[in-house]
Amino acid sequence: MFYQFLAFSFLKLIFIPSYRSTDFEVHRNWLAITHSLNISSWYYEDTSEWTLDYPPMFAYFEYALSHIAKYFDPEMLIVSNLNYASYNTILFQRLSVIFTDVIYFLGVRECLKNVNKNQKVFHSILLLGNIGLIFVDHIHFQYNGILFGILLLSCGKIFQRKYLQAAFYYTLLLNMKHIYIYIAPVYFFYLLKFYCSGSFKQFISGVIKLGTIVLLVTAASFGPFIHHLPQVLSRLFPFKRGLTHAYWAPNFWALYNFADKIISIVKKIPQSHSNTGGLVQEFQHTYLPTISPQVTFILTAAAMLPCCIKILFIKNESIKSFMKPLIICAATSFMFGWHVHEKAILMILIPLQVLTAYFQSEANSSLFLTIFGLYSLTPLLFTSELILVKLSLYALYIAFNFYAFRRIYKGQQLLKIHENLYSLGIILLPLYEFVIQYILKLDQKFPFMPLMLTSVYCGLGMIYFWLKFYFEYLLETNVKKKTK
Amino acid sequence: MTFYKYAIIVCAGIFLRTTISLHSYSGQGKKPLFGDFEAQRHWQEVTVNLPIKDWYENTTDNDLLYWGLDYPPLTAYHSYLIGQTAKFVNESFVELHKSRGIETEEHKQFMRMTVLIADILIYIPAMLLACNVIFFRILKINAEKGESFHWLYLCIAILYPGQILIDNGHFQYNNISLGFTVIAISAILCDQRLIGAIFFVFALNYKQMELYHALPFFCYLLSTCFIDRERQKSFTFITGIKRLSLLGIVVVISFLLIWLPWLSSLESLLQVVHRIFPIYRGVFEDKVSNIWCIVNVFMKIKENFTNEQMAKICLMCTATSIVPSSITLLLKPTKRQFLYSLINCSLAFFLFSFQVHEKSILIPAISVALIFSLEPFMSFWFLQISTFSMLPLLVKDGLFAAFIGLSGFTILLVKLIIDESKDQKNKNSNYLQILLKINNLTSRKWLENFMIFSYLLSTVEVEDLSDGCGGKFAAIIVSDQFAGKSLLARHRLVNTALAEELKEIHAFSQKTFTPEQWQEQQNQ
Repeated sequence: MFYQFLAFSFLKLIFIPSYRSTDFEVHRNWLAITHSLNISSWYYEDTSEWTLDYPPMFAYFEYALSHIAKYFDPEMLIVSNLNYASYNTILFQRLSVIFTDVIYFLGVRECLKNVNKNQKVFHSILLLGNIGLIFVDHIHFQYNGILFGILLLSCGKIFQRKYLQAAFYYTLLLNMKHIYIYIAPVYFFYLLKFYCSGSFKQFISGVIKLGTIVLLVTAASFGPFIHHLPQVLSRLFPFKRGLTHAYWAPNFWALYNFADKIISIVKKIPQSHSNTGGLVQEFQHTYLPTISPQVTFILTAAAMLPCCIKILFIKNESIKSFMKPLIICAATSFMFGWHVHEKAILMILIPLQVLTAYFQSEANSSLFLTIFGLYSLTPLLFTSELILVKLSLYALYIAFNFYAFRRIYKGQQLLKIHENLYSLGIILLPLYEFVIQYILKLDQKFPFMPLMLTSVYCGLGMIYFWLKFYFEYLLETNVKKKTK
Repeated sequence: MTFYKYAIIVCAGIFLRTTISLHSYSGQGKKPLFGDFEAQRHWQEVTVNLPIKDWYENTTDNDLLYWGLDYPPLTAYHSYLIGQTAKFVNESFVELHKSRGIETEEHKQFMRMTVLIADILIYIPAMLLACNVIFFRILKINAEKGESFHWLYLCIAILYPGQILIDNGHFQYNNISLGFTVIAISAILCDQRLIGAIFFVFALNYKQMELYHALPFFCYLLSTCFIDRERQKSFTFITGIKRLSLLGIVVVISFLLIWLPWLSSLESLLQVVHRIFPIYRGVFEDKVSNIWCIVNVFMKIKENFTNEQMAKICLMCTATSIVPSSITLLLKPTKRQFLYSLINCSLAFFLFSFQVHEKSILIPAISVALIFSLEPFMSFWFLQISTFSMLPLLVKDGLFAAFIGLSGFTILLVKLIIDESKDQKNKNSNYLQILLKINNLTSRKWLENFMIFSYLLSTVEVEDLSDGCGGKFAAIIVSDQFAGKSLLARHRLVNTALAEELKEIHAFSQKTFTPEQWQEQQNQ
C-alpha cells in the first residue's frame, strides 16, 4: 500500500505547473502572516483580502511550513508581496501538499487495517487515488489531504475502540478546519453511548476523560488568542457570504434557486441581478422567500436529529454503526448547509469509500455517489487547458471503480436500472458544455447554463442519494436483528 | 471487464498526455530561434502560405535557415492540414512572416491538441493492436491466465514516458511515424504483408528516421516472398517472383503518390532529398547516448575527422553491425526473428550512424516496448533508461518535474501490478517468474546516478549561446561553496564538477557568485 501511495505521489508531481486557484495565494498569504507577524496580530492582519479564517491549529501548521519555505524562497514570506508566485514558491507549495499527504496515507492505512486482503488493493487505490482530492488539492490547491488524513485516523481509532485517541484526533481536526463541526453530533452521541454508558460512575469518568482531552487540545490551539477571541471567531464564521457559493454546490439550495429562477421566468418577474455568476454575495430570491442562515441551521439540525437519536438505540459498537451516521451527517449538512462548497462532497465520499471496503452492500451507494459527486467537482477547474485533463481523469477513475467492483463482487448487479440511466445522463453534461452549446450558439445567450445544469442535475442525484441512504439507515434495525 | 480494462488504459494514456501538455515546450520564450515547437508551427505557416513547389526551396518567403522544412512529404502534408485548421481557428497562428515566434496560451493549446489527436487516432490504437497481436497470436497466451501480464504489457506500451515527454512535452509528432510503424509491424505479424508495406512507406515518408527500421522490413518481406517459415513450406520460384513484384509495385506506387508534386523535375526532387538528409550537420547533436559520444570523451572526433570522413566511418560501423541480424532474418524469416531484428537494426543505427538526435532513441525504444512480452526484464529497463538518456534535453525544456513524475509513476505502477498478480496465486503461469525478476532488481543504483545528475543540474543555470548546436555556453553559477574563495579557485571548482561535460563544449564562460553577491547583482 505504501508503494501505491508513492506511485500517486509521483503522479501528483506532474500537476506542478497546472492552473492554481486563488486558494494558492490564500495559503501563501497565511504562510507570510504566520511567519513574519507576531502571533497576536495573526487574526487582525488584513493587507490581503484573504485573511486568516481557519482555526489556530491550521495557523500553527502554516507557521511550521513557513520555516521550510524560507529555504525555498524567502520572498514569499513577506506579507505585502501580494500574488507572489515565483517558481520556487510554486514548487514549495505544491510539494508541501504532496508531502503532507503522508498523513492521508496513514489515515487510509489505519482505516483499512482489517479489510480482506484480496480486496484491500482496490479499496486502497480508490481511496489514495481519489481524484476529488487530486482536483481540489493538487490542481485547485488546498490542504485537504492532511485534514482527511486526521479524520480517517480518528475513524480508524474508533474502529479499534480507542475512543480517547479518536476524540483527540477529532478535536485536533476541528481546530484545523472548523467545517468538520458538521459531523460533531455523531462523535458526541456515539462517544456518549459507547464510552460514557453503563453505570453512573462510568458515565462520569468517561465524560471527564473525554472532556479533558477536548479541552486540552482546544486550549493549546486557542490559548494564545484568549484575549482576541471575538476577533478570531468573527474571522472564522463570516455570515456575510451568500446562501450558495458562486457555483452552486449540488444540494437542496441549488434546486431551490433553480425553482426560483424557473418561476420568475414563467411569471416574467424582472430580475435585479444574476445569481449564477458574479461574486460571493448575499442574494435575494425573486419569488421564493429568501433564506437566512438561521433557517439553514435549523433545517440542518432537524434533518440530523433522527439519525443522531438512532445512535443512542444501536446495540453494538461497530464500523457500520459509526460510519453510517457520520456519512449521513456530512450529507445532511451538505444538503442544507449555509454557503456550502462543492468540495464538501468529499466529506461524504471518502468515509463512504472506507465503509464500502468493509461492506459489499455499500458498493452501490459508493459507486453512485462517486459518479455524480466527482462530476460536480469538475466546474472547479474551469480553465480551458484543463478540460481534457479533468474529463479523462474522471473517466479513468469511474472506469477503475467499475473494474474494481466487478473484480471484487463477481456477477453482482452494481447499479439499479434507473441509477444506471441517471449515470449515463451525466455524459450529456460535458456534451452540452463543450459541444452542443457552441453548435446551437447558446454560449453567448446563456453563459451560465452549463454550470446550472451541472449543479441541478447533480443536485437531483444528491437528493436521491441522501434520501435513500438515510432511509436505509433508519430501517436497518430489523434486518440487523434477523442476521444475528 | 475487458471493456473497462481498455477504458482504463486509454483514459490513463489520454490523461497523462493532457497533463504533460500543461508543461512548457521546447524553446518556449527563447528568442530568436525558439525550438521544435516553433519549427512545427513554422512548417504550417510555410505550407499553408506557399505553393507546394516552394516548400523545400529557399525563396524570399521561405528562409530555409529559419527552421526550413527538413522532413519528408507526409510531414509537410500533415503540417498543411494542421495549418489550414489553424487558419480556421485563428489566422494569426500561421500568418506569413508575422506569426513567427507566436506565444499565446490559445496557440499552445491548439498545438497541444493536434498532438493529442494524433495520439488518440494513431499511436494508442496502433499500440493496442500490436500488443494484442503479439500477445494472443504470436505468444498465444490465455487471456484468463495472463491477465496481469496483459495489463502490464498494455501499460508499458501506452504509458511509455519517453514518447509522452517528447511528443506532448518537448513537442514533436513522433507518435505518427511510430504509430504507422507499429501498425505496419502488426499487419506483417498477421500475414497482411501488403498493408504492412504500405504503412511502413507512410512511416518512412513521415519521418526519414524510420529508416532505422527499414532493413528488417526489407529482409523479412523479401524473404517471405519465397519462404513461408511458419507453415514449413517454400513457394516455387515463379510464385515468389510474382509475390515480390506485387509487393514492389505497391511500394513504388505509394511512394510515387506521396512524392507526386516534386516529380516534375529532377532538380526539385534532389532538393527535397538534400533537405531530408543533411550531411552538413555534425556527427551528433548535444548529448546523445551513442558510441560516438563515448568515443568523443577519449578522442575529439571533430578535431580528427572531417564530416565526410566521419560519415563514411559511421556508415561502415552501422553496416557491419546490422549485417548479422539481417542475414539471419533473410534465411530464417520467422516472426519472432523479425521482432528481434527490428531492435538490433534500429539500435545499431542509433549507436553508430551519423547525425543522431537523442530523441531518436524513441525509434529503437518502440520496438523494444513491443517485445515486452518476450523479454520483460530487458524491455522494461531499456524503456526507463532510454527516457533517462534524454534528461539533458528534458531539463532544458523545463520538463524535469514531469520526467520524475512519469518515470517514478510508471516504475511503481509496474511493481504494483506485479505485486497484485503475486497475491492472486496464479503460480501455474510461468510468466510470473519472469515478471518477478523485474521486481527483484533494485533500482537503487539507478536512482543514485539520477540524484547526482539532478543535483548538478539544479545548481547550475546554463544559458545556451550557440542556438542549439551545443558548442557555446555561458553559465551563471551561484553556490555558497564559493564563499571566501578566489575567482580562480571558484572556476577550478566548477571545472572539476563539470569535467565530463566540458570536454564536448567549445566555449564555456562562467560567472561565479556566492548567494549574497548574486542577490546584490539581482538588485542592481
